[in-house]
Amino acid sequence: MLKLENVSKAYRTTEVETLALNEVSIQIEPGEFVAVMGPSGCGKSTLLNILGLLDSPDKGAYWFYEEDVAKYSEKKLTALRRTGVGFIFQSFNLIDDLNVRENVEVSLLYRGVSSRERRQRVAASLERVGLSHRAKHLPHQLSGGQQQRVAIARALVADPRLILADEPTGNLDTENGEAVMKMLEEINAAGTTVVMVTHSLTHAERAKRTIRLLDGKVVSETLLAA
Amino acid sequence: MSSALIAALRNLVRNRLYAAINIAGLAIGFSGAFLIALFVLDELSYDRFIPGHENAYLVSSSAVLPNGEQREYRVSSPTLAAWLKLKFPQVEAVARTAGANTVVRRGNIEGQENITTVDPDFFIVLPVPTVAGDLKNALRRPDGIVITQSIARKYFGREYPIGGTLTFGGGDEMTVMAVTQDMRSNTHLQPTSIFVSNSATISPLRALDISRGKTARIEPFIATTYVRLTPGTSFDPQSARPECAKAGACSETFALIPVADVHLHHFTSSAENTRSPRTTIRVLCALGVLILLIAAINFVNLTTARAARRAVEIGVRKTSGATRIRLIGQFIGESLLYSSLGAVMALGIVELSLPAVNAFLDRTIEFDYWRDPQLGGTILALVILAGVLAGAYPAFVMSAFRPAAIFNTSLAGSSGAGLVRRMLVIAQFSVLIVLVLMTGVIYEQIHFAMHEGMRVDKNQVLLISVGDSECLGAFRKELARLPGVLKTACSMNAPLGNGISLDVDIAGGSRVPLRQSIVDFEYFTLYGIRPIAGRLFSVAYATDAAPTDRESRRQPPLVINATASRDLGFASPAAAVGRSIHFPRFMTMDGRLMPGPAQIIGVVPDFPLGSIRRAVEPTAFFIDPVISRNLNVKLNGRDIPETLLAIERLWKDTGHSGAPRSMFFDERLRQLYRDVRRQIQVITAAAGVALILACLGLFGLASFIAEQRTREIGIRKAMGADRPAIIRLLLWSFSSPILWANLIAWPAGYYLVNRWLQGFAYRIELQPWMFLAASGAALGIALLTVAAHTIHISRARPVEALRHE
Repeated sequence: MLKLENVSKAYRTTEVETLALNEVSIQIEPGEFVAVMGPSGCGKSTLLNILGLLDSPDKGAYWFYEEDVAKYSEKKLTALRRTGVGFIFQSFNLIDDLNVRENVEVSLLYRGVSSRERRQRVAASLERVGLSHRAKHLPHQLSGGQQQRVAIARALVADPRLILADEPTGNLDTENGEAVMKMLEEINAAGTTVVMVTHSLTHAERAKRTIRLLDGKVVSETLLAA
Repeated sequence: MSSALIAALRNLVRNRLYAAINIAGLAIGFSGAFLIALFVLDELSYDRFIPGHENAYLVSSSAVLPNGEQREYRVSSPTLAAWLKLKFPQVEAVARTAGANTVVRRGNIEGQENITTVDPDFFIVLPVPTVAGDLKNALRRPDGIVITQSIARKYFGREYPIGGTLTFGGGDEMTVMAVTQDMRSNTHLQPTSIFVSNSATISPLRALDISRGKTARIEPFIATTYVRLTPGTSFDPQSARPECAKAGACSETFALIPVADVHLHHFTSSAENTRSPRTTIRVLCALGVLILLIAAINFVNLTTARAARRAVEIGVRKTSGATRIRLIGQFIGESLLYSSLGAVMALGIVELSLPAVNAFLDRTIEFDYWRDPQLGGTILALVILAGVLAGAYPAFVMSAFRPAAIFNTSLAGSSGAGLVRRMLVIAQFSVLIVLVLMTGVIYEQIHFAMHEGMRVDKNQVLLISVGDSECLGAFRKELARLPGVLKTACSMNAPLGNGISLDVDIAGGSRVPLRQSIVDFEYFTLYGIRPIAGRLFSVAYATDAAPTDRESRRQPPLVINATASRDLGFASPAAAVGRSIHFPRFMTMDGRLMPGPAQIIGVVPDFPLGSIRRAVEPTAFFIDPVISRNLNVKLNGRDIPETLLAIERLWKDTGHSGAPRSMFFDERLRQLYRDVRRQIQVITAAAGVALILACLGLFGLASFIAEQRTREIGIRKAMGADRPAIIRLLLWSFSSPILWANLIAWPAGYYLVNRWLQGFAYRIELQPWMFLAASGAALGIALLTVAAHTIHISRARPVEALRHE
């Protein structure tokens, strides 16, 4: 279970302070598929970063399963992230100089997985997203849809409990977007919690619950029929 | 073009760090290159300040030793000059010089001065710049002297004391007839403060001139002879030689060396220095080019690395119709801007550092770039060359960007440029590793040469230069009784010079060269050398010394070294003892050979005589009490200043003037390797500059790579990489070019260092650790340079890193 209690987060520059999240409280159950919606700058990505342990709240508590991690050090957060969280980004965030296989492998590099097991799991993960034949390609040799599938393979390969997707279809055409959504549904069906930020109403409707944010606050929560 | 200039200047201001690194790198590179250029120009400018130097020549002389070895000397027979003047109408003037030093007084002011005694026509042959007086006729009278400006100020307190008098050591009153500028450092002439006529009593040539014709013997190698020829004429010294010898004017062959070439001429008589000065100039030029190259590489690397940042500007200019040529012009113009700024800084650095450099090199190099068109032109050419060379590649790369590609994708810098960048960094570090290796090896070798290589106990040994037969005189007898003195021994060339080597006939009709070294009874014990067979010389045996009667045919007994024992064909050192060889003893005093059987009484282990650049040769030691140049004095090591004072007092008390010319063995050894020590200092300095430049380049590149890889670091962190993992990743990416550099540096370094070591008969073995240490040092310094960046990036929170998108 993921639980935010009165979480606030502000970003400061020399001139302005922007309150990205303002006293946000939400709870996400294991195995849920949650969509987060809202206009640009409403705090969606900040919420995702905090949920994914990439960032810490300024105020409030964050229960990541059994632990309140709000005050955790970078080191502890890294350790938790390593075992439990997979990320999918809008801009794919593949490493330019690594090929597809190596990009997927990055997820396992820091988990103490033997090289033999890494090879097997990377192969299985690429098989799952249908890109086994592109294993040796560099990111710039792939289409956007293919790059996002590599990113999904990378998120899946470590078998995380939680997958966070930040506008995973934002840079893709309809067809590729649909394929990615199907994959997320499959992942969720297999028992993994998925939290997805999206601008697309159609894609949000594929989730079981939608949280809407405005100016850093939760304005509505809609539970959709399964 | 103004928009291009504005863009260039704004780009410079906006990227202050990179601009600073670029300009500083070029400034350091230029400073190094300018200083080297100044030194090289100075080396090449020797004696060119003398008006009409093109027609002035030094007459060198060559002698063939009895063993066939030819040596060329700066000095020649004192009789040669007059003969040349008489014989050749094209000789306008001749002059001989000799050195002396004496105490000079005026009132209460007294000092020891360097004096050159010269023939009256000296200033016609070499008209050194004068400030007052009639230089050409100044020395026509025997009491006339020519002094330098500093001497005028020192003794007279004014610049032009024409007609003033100075009192010389013997009480002679000398009159100032002319004042010259102070001697420059870029002259081969001896440092001189007072010129005196050769007809003055102080001149060593005067006595010879007076006795001329009374003895049949010619004293070679006394005077330095100069001639001035009528412009456009010459004569052949080779063909003149037989006639000269017949006339009794010379015993040697002679040659004419233009005075401007004397400094760089390699006189083989200086057995210590086996390297030509031209080699040093070549090495320095190579170092200068390397330093500039490293600076240019930095510029190329940083500029291409940051090219992507200016992609939009290039795209906009291209869509607005700028041609590729125009853009290339723009970027080369920018690079010229950087190189000009670097050069201006370099001018400041050189101005500031020149006094220290001059003090270090003992020169008076000036940096008159605004007055000296040759120097100014050289600098301008270097700046333009560096600017264009450094700017050409980045201009080529950047002007090739395609507008469509720029606007559609994020341009992460083309991989081609990245590869070139990597290669250039590898090249830089290769140079650096080679320089570090060379510094280390030269240092090790010189340490070896001065310590283990000597193989004698040289501690607390004072060497005093003395005249022949001084060893039998009162000075030495009294010296041995001084409380701080343990032992004294006379020698001719030993311990740090070589005697003559002559062939010895051995059984079976073959001949073996044997070097002859004149020593003294206590010589071996003073240096802690024990016999490996037989005995050493001893005062207990009356016949151990050569007879003082020059006509006696009795040969003194010999002590030989282990190599000689082997070369002479003895089965063992012990087998040599008691045997006789037919020994051609060289009579140094009159240059005759005195052959005859000599008995070997002992064998000593091999130890080097002189520089360890030469192998230990088969050597025979014998005692000739009449001949000595060195007094070896072993001190007890306590109260050294008092002992030295006592020696000086004794020197005066035994009828000598001034202070004895003495030097500690170690000091003499350091002099022997002076060229090598200079080399190590220059190479260390060059390595230092190369190091600073390479680090500067790496620092800039690291900050670029850090920026470029921020996203990757963010991704890796999101995937669970912790800080140590990130640090390892970055350090590896920074160190891999240095590891590659070893592939070039090790073979190149091995070749260069090995070649250098070939100049030494006894040398250190090149060990793998030396190469590892040089690479390790380069790696360590490189990693320290990038440490700050590495830690900084590894600390960044992944969310910040990813926000860079």
